[in-house]
Amino acid sequence: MDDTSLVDYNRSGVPLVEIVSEPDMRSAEEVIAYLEKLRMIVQYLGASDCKLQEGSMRADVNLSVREVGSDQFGTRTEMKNLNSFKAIAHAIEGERQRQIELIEEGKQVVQETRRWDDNKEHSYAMRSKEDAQDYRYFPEPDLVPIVISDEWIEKIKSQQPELRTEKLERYKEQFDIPQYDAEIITGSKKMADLFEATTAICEKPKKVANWLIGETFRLMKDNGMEPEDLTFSPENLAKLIDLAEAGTINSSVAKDVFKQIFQEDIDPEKYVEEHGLKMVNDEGALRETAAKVIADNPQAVADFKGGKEKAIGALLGQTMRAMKGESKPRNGESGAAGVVKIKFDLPVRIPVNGTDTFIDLILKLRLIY
Amino acid sequence: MAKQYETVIGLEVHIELATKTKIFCGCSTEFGGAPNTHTCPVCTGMPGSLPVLNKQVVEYAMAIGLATNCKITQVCKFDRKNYFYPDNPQNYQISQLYLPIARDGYVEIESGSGKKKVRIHEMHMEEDAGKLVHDEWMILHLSIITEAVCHL
Amino acid sequence: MDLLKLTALELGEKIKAKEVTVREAVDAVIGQIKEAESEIHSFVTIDEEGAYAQAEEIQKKIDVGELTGPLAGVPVAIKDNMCIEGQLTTCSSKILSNFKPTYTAEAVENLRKAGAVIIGKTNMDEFAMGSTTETSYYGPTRNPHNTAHVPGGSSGGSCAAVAASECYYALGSDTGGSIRQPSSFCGVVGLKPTYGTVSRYGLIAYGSSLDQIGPVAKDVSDCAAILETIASHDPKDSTSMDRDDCDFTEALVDDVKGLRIGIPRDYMGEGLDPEVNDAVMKAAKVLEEKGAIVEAFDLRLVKYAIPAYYTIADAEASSNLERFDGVKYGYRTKDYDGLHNMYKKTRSEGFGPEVKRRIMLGSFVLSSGYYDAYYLKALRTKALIKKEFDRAFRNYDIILGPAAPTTAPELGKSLSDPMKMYLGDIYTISVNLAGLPGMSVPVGKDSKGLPIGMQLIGNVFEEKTLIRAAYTYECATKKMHETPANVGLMSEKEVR
Repeated sequence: MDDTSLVDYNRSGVPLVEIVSEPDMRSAEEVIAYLEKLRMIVQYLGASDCKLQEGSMRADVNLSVREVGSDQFGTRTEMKNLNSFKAIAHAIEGERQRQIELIEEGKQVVQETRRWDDNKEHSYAMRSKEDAQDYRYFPEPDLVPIVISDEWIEKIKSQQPELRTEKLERYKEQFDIPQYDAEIITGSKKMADLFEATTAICEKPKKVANWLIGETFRLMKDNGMEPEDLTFSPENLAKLIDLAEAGTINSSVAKDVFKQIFQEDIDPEKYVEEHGLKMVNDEGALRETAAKVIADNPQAVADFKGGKEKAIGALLGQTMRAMKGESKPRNGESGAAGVVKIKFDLPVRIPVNGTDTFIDLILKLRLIY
Repeated sequence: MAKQYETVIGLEVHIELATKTKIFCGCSTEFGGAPNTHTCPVCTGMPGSLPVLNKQVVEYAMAIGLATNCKITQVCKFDRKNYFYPDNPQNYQISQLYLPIARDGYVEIESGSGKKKVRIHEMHMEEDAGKLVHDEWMILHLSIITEAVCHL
Repeated sequence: MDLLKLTALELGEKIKAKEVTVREAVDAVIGQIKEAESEIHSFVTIDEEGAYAQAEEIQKKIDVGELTGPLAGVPVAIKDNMCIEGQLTTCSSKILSNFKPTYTAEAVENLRKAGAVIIGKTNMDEFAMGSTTETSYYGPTRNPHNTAHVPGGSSGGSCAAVAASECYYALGSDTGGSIRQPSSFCGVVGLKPTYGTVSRYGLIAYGSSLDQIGPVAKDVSDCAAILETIASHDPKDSTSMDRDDCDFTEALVDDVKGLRIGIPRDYMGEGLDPEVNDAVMKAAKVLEEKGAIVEAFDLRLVKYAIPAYYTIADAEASSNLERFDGVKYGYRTKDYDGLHNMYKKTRSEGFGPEVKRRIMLGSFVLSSGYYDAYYLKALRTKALIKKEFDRAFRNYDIILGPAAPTTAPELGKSLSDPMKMYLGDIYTISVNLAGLPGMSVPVGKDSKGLPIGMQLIGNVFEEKTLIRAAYTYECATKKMHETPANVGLMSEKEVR
């Protein structure tokens, strides 16, 4: 059987910066914090997209153990092939254990390079490429020394995009958003850029922040995505926010439409038109329709008054459909009960006045759902 | 009384820079592409080829160095790291050993154990190697064998 | 009119004046090659078909006035370590015996643009490692003045081809004297320019911080015109300089009044063949009579130059030659057992003994534990040698001496004692270490009829001073370069 490998030189010559730290970290947690900080800095500079999975950021871990209180360094090993933060954390734990076991058994830790297999959760000593590597380093004669003047350094400094800490403070001040929100938004340059671009269009920073921190992060998590993977445009998010603010669509519809924006970057104005999702704002017509629905469903009304709060959902659903001229529930919902299930997933508090009629209640609910 | 052990960890992080072209030639760095289509005599180590440094690489490296509180080495140079391996077209990698572009910096982190400064020893520029792709047929064949064994 | 007696510039003029066609010029050299090649063996590859095709195209361009330069239509030979697209480029080594590059060296490209007709690739010491052209995988080249002797090296093929009139001029490369020494052995003019003057792109590297491409020609005027054509600032070569003083033919002036010439005492003592000594001193006298101020002086550190040179050149070479591994191109061994075995066998079979010797030496001086003691020390010595030349050039415009301690040795006598062979580089290598320009000019023959050359060394960027001095010498001696066709004849040459 032919044991062949193929070589692809597309990657050969791609520029790398290698950052070598001092052995200052003491746990997987600190390692992850360091990597996240580095990643954020480099991304903020636009120097790299730093994706561990894709290989644009690679981390080799040098690890040794020693007794607490000792100031001597133990023999360290190097671990490679760590493609995710999870793998890094596992590898650190695994190697720490392995080295401790060896020491406790009175054996030596061998200085070597080990390859971590995250599936097996085990590391293997790598076959060395050459025995006792002597790289015979010497100055590259085909390249001349690089002379970096003070002026050049100043120029780079002045060109540096605003770093995270500055941005965070600025957001709090300029847009009046809370520390917690600002932290999340500035946690990634992509997110921060999206925030500012969207705010520039619709001028509603707090709403933008909510949409990013809320729905966007939720959908990212569901799909295992990083902020760098987001593909929707600030224009469409801004349009959506304006639509919701103007009362053209209600919050439930807004969330559905946002999902489309998130996945396919659709134009929400067009989408709402095409799918007839506009909220009808003619209060007179609404009251009339609601009154009719109430009159037609005495049982539901009685249930609600008897303490079954969810019964109002059926009435709400029917009112909405009647407004649209629909007689059937939409999108696979299985009738009034189905509507109830979907719409009442999240707990909601409706501000209610003592003088609110039943119809008022329905109208308030409609605004939310 | 069981001994308590402390883990001591250092990291070497490689970052692929987002320049449009490679560090020593004008080939595209775009991800993907059919194998060996973003190549030229320089990045395939052809005889008589010579490297020419991409200025943007230096500027990114400087920027990262400055953002991590490093001192920039105002006269720095490249060195050859010699070793034989097929993903290394000239069998040497152009890197920096003696005078790396940035040194003695730090990054502040916050974790469960509090705030801390992780010191950066040095930061240097270098070229990436090619990619070795192991025979697909080999891999497939192996998995078929494994399955057969399981069934027995 | 015997076309072969003309110099490159003379031929170029006649072609321009429509007295001679490019095709006729090619006929002449091809004819001479057929006559002489079986004995001399200057070439690895002769591209007869290609040459005639080029001739036709170039003739057309000359006719419509597109090509007007002084070298248009003149046939040239290129040393086989310079890449030419689509043509076999072997460095006279087995490991590249099937290598055809996909790009052309910048210096050759500059010649092409000027209308040169490339006849073929000349023989050399394998990977430019040698002083006799005997380490070539394809067998040695012989000195046209006496075919029992070597032509010198490593550009032996280029120099022999010019001396035997198999071409009108040639390109050579010089790392430690590889243009100047064989030029002196073959009685032709050879010039190594200041480091960085001619682009190294497409020159297969030996000692990267020392290599330079330069002209080999029948007289000084030709050399100046060729250098002017091949010198350029090349962005593809980071060590290429941007010079604004490359109009070298402006220096073809018959005047050395007041020129200060220094002759190092260390050069003229022990180890120097007395006939060579005589001829060089006579040449210095000629320049003195023309108004130059000639005196002896002490140039220190001469004896450290050889160990420093071999340490640095071989270190760089050991790395430069790592790419020849049978993976992507060139020779690969037939039977092997795994990757490292393939590397070992390919390189063991593909490289000759001198190349292996230098790779081992170079790897050793770079290895951990020895780097400081050898390589670093050699770099420091190099800096000191440069300082020493700086000191000398405060008092002198030109340093004059022999190009080699002897005339061409007999074939087969040198390789058995590599150390002795290395010591023969004594006059030329410090010039490479300091990056200075150096020129070899024929000044006579010894009693065996073997040519003797003097070396003129200038400060950095001072090629024009060298050219002026060499041209003046030529005019004063009115000696035309003797080709074997003219051996025994001394014809008068027109002073330009």
